[in-house]
Formats: sequence, structure tokens, C-alpha cells
Amino acid sequence: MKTYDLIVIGTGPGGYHAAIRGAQLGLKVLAVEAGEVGGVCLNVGCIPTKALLHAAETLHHLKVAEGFGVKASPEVDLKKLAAWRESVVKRLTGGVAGLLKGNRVELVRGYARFAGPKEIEVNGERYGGKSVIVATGSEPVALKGFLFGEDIWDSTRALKVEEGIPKRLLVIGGGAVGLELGQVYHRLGSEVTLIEFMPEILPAGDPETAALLRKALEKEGLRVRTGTKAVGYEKKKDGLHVTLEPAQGGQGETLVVDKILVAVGRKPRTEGLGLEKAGVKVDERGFIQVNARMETSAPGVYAIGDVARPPLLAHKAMKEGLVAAENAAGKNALFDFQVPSVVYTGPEWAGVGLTEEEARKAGYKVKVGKFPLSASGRALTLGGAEGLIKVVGDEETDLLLGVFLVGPQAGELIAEATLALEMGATVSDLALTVHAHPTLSEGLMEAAEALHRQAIHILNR
Amino acid sequence: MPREILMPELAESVVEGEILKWLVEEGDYLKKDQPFVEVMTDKVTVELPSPYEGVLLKKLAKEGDVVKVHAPIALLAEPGEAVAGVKEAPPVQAVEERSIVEPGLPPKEEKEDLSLFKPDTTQVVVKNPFLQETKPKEEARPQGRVLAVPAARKLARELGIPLEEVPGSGPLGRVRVEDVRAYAERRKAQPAPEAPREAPPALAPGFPPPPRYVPPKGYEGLEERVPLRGIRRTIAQGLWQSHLYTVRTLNVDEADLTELVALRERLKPEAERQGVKLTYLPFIFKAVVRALKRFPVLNTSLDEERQEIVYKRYYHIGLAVATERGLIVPVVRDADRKSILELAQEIADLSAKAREGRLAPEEVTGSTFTVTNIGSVGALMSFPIINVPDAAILGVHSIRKRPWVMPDGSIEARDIMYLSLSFDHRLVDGAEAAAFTREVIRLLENPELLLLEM
Repeated sequence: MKTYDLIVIGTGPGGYHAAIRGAQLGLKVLAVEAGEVGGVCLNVGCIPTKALLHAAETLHHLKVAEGFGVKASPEVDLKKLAAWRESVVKRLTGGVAGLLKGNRVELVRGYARFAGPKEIEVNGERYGGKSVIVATGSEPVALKGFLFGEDIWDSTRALKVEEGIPKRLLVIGGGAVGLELGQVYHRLGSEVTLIEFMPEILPAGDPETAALLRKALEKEGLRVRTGTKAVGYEKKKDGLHVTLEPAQGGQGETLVVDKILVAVGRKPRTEGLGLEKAGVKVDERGFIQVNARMETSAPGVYAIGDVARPPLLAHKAMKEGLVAAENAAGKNALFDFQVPSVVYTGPEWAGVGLTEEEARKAGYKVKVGKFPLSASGRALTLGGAEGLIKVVGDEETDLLLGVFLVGPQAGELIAEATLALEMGATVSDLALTVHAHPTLSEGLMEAAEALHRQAIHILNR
Repeated sequence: MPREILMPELAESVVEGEILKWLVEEGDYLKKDQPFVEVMTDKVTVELPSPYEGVLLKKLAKEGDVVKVHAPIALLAEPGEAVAGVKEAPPVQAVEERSIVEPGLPPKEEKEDLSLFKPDTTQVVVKNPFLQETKPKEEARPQGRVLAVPAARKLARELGIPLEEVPGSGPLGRVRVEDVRAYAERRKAQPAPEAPREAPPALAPGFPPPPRYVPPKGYEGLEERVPLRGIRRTIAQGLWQSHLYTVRTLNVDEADLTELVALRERLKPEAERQGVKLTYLPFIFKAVVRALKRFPVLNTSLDEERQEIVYKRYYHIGLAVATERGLIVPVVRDADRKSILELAQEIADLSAKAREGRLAPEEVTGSTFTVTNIGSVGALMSFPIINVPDAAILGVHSIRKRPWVMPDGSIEARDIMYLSLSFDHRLVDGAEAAAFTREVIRLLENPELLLLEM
């Protein structure tokens, strides 16, 4: 049996971070991958989705550019778009494979299964590890009555734009995946209806900015119906007849579409891993239980990323991977970080820290500062005046608690807010920092000023 | 009404148990007799079976806590009892890729325990570290998340400094990297115990405080810290007690075991036929028991409270066994009433159980005298520490061919073994100790004498 200091199961974002950090710390590392290096994120998740979003956004910009005097008649070559999407994926996955190799991480392909507490089996071959990191990620969950197939897509199938843009598309699920892919198809020409069970899209986020995002999408032509569920469908000659009902039940109605994208969530991937052999416990939702050191219930076995706990975000998985690898190398690392969330629609939505409601529940005297991007010079010159930056602070101590925003490049702007939270900044720290003009980031400074009723570009009433 | 589960009496003279590991979570459904927590007492680990059926409402002790016998360790709700705040286990359910938390999900009332495994069962933990750690504000400020920059948090962890002890110089008392460094410096600079220099006479009553460990400057990063837990803690406490509360004295002697070696060689095949591996230990046990009978003061304990010496007319011989988890002393009860073969069998069984961590509490308590076999590891001579409340411990070493002066003045290569008797001088006089050792040697050198014991 070959033995290693560290075995990492899965080479998604969390897994390859763990493997590389382990190798950097002098460990002999084995990485096991059943699919493609890079996992869901690089192959069928974040990266290809963002490639499509960029293409769709470019198309959208060309269409609306007429408003400021730039005329164009854009056309979309779906085959070429798909090829470009794949080239981006290939380049990144190749890069990760090269990084693993360059760091002397051994890679074995196949499904890993625990054969003992710190022993795994891949393709009939046994490998022993002083530490094992489980980083097997997650997979789309199916919705009752909507079996994935030709007509019912999961997010992976929805990436294949080259196979045609349906005339009418129903997206079930108003989270990041549904919103992003829904907008891609809308911008590529589908008539898109998106339904969400909860009263607002992005149910875990700040409801005010989420509502603004929904309105922006609706204004663009996407039909969004919140508080709605899909209970079943029937395939007829003229399409899929989907029965929609209010979330609380009641009078149903029929919507006819050509395809349905189910994006109601993802579930941790633990099946066939033989976790019980290693003594690794999962919680009632199937996530592997971990502590802040990313240790599972089995000594020497760690779990990170989607398989460990929500939120299912690549950047959370990456940091967790580093924490687990450092602990495996005998260091003392903790995951005690702020985790931002981003939705890459146009406009983008992003948030980090406590929402107003969460802050109130945590016992803070909450004060909020808001700055609408309609008052931002930079937003106007970018042609996107829709948006809002919102700063949540503690009135007593002025401590910054959370930042939520919707607008262009929100995903980039949230980095400043995350750093501020991580550094324990006060709202005044944000307000006192000079921000270049004209930029969108000024809006964050102005929102902080607005919390103190001192914003310049709006009336602080 | 929810019922309390109490720490049971695990064995005689066991007064407390350490919670090693919870096997179930709050909200889990327990069947009667289902093991629910791992408890360590003395030197063994047991899984406690649930005395009732029901839902585990609350753990009343954290992992690492030491709980007295009869003190509550958990709250259990009876089956069918409606309990607010405890959810029936829902079926596996999906979680939205980005947005997961059900709105209004109450934050869990758990404080973080970083040193031992404890699952963070709530998703709120990662999404909003603030939320989890800053509960109601009054209690949150002193013990909640310390306001500190990420690099300071990391440095403090590396130096083993509790962040909450570091005074922060930033706004709102925010801890910066310099604050951690300065605090570490100050901690190092502090002279260890101050008492001796200032007032030497005050030293007389009571013990000085334990020495303070300070890492050599610049080498903090090359150190690793492991919490003192479980068996290691028990060992440390027991030995510390022994060191502080016995007057340990050493008596060393040597024995010519040539005849015993030959005898054992002859008996081995017969023992093997009966399925027993015959070592020297059963012979040594026999000799010890016989010598204890002759010198009863070696088979005593001191009852400090009552200021009485307890003479024992039973012979429970402890055997120090090195295992992966640490030193364990299983006890062979009534060794005087067992044959060489029975002793051999029992010693083998207990050693195997010790290595597998399967010893029951009563199998590691109640020794009256202890033997430690240093020979298997191979030291020339060692000074054993007494397994309190015993009065003495006998160290036996490896049997080696050594030059030996025979009664006729010639020199022969003989099978020689060193013995080191470590005894509590308060109970045992030096002459008695030496005589006891000589008696053990006499019996081992003339093993036919042991026939009278068989």
C-alpha cells in the first residue's frame, strides 16, 4: 500500500487549494479526482457560467449602446461561443493540473472510497494517508415531479448553449444559479420565466437589495414570480404545460414552455465514499460535520467545501482547504473568516456580513446607510444607474457589520467591504478613506457617510 | 418533564469521569442502552449507555470537562414529549447553492470549543461569523469574537496566546499585530514565580506554584501545542501526586536467574500445549506475592486523612503496560490464589486489553503493589515512580548474560537481572525494603522454592 502524508479526495477549488498548500508545507500529497481536475467550479460551474454571462452581457451592452450613440447589429454564433467557453475552461483546468504537478502533488484518477479510518481505495488500489481531506463537493438536487432529462435541465446541461436556445424557458429557483443562467438565456433570446418559492429572490440575502435586483431583471424583460411553486408538468404538442401554484397552495395556473431549468439547490456528494468506514459523521442534511479546524468526527480526517457545510461557495471551499491542509501539517489554523456572496447577473448583487435583521437579532443597535447609484457619476457614465449600496453598522460602537449592494461590478466592490469587516473596521473608517473619483467604490464611502447623515451627493433626510 | 442523565458510578473508588467525546448530538433520538458518550475514568474509557429512551435535549458537559459521579451530564426528553426547540430530524434536503439559510432560522446557542471536535451544526456559522459569536450583546462583548485584524488572530494562534487576553490598541480596542507581539514580549519578560526571592520564609507552608513555561525567544513557531487530555492528563496527575506525596527511595539489587531461565525453557512447551505463552512475569509475580506475605509492610497504603496505615491481606498486583495511548496499569486480582499458568494467561489478557483500550474500570484499580517490566524496553536501570496508593513498586529489567563470580571464585557467564525497588520511605524502612528485595531474589534464584506456592 502506498502511503502519503495527505490524501485529498476531489480537485475542485477546495481540493486543489488543500493539495497545493499541503505540498507547500512539505507534505507528500496524493490528490484523487473522479472527473475533471478543477471540479464543478472550473468545469461546469462558476467559470463556464461567467463566460456565458460575459458574452450575454456584451450582447446586451451592444443593444443598449444605441442609447448613447453607439449603433451595432450584433449576432450570436453559438458554436463559436461554446468553443470559447470551452477554451476558457481548458485553460484554467490545464493551469490547475500544472500547478498540482509543479507542486509535486501526485494525481490519481478514479472514485475514492474509504477502506478504513485513514485508508482509501481507488480503482482497487489502496492508499494510506496520515491525514485525509474530503473535498468531493456537491451536485444539483432534483425537484419532485421534474426528472432531469431532455426537457428538464440541470445547471450543467444549461451551459450547452450550442444545442440551441429554447423559445420559452422556465427557471425554477431564484438563487444565484437560476438568476445567472436565467439571464443568460433571456439575453440570448429566450422568453424566460423564473419562479421562486420564497417571497423574494435570494432568500438568504438582504431583501431590499434583492428586490432591486429583481426589479432590474424584470425591467430587462425577465418574468420573475416569487412566492410560487411548480407542482408538475405535462408534455403536449405545443410544449411543456407546467402547473404553477402559489407557495402556500391555492388556485393553480398553467404555463407553457419549451424547456425547464431546475436550479433549486445542490446536495453534498458523499454517496459511495464509505464515510462510515472512516467513522465520519454527517448531519441530518447530509453534510459532513466539521469544526472550525475543518476536522470531522474521525481523527485525521477533514472535510471542506460544499460537502462540509453551506454556503456552497468556491471561495469558502478554497479557504477551508487551506485551513485543513495547514492543520494536517501540524499548524493551528481556524476558519474564522467573513464570506462574501456574489450573484453575477447584470446588475450584479453582492453581500457580506450581517443583514439588518441578523444584526438586530444579534443584539446590535442597528443603523443603516444607503447610497443609490443613481447619484453616482461613475454609474451614470457606465450606463447603469440602477443600484444601491447599503452599509449596516452598530450605532453604539460604529462597528461595521455588513455591506450589501446591487449594481455594476458589485462582485469587485464587495472585496473592500470584506477586508473592512475582516479588519474590524468602523463605518467611519470607510467614510474617512479617500476613494478615487469617479468610481463606483465612492458609493461605499458615501453609504458609510450616509449612515452618519453626512453623505454629500444625496440629501440626508 | 425532561430527565437528567447522571454520571454513573463506574467502579468503586471512581469519583469522577472526563467527558472524552459525545457520540450523539443534541436533538438526536436515543434508544435505551444506546451508547451516547465516551467517558474516561482513571485509565479506561467507557461508552455510557443511555439509561432511558428519548431525545437528547441538552449536553450539560463539554468534551474535556471532568464530571463528578452523580452529577448530571445530559438532559433527556421522554418519547412523545413535545419539546420546544428540538426539531424532529428532517429528511435530507437540498440547499440552494448560494442562499441556504431558511429565513428566521434562530442562531444556535453554542459557544465555540476549538480544542476538541465539536461540529458546527449551523450554517449561520460560516455565513456570518459575527452572528454566531456575538449573541446578546452584554455577554457577547466580553467573551464573544474578539475584535482583531486577521493577521493578529493568526499570530496569536501561532504563539498560543488567547486573543481575549491581549489588550487592543486600535479603535474599539481592536487587536493589531503589534499588540499581540507586545503582549507576547511582556509575558516572556515576566519573572516566573516571584515568591522565593521576596519572602523566603513564606515558602515553607505549601508548595511553590508550578513553573511557568516560556518558549525560547524566536522559536515559538517551531513549537506545537497539544492539549493535556485523556489518559495523558490522568497519567500526569497520578504521577504528580505520587511525586509530591510519597517519599520515594530506591533499592537496587541483582539476581542470578540462570536456573529460572532453564526452568522456563523446560516448562514452555507444556504451557504452549495449554495455549499459554509463558514469560518470566508470572514467576516474578509469584515471588513478589510470597515476599509480600513475609514483609506485609510492603503491601500497605497510608490513609492520610485518618492517619492510619492500611495493611492488606489480599494481593492485587498491578502491571505497568506501555501502550500507544500511554501508560496503563491493569491489575491482577488475588495473585496469591492463582497458579503460574493462570497468572500467565491473565497477564497476557490484560496486556492485550490495555493495548486495545478495552479495560474495564475495575481492571485498573485497587492494586496493592505494582511491578513494572522495564526489561522489555531495555534500560540498564531505572527508578520507578510509585503507583499511589501502593507503598512500593518493583522494576524488573532485562535478563542478560553477564560475568558472575561463582561461590568457588570462578567467573561464569550467567543470566543476570537487575531489580529496582522504589518504596515510600514513610511506610517502609530501608532495611525492610532491602530484605524484601533479597527475598524476591532468593525465590527467583531458587525457583523450586516457588513450587510451594503452586
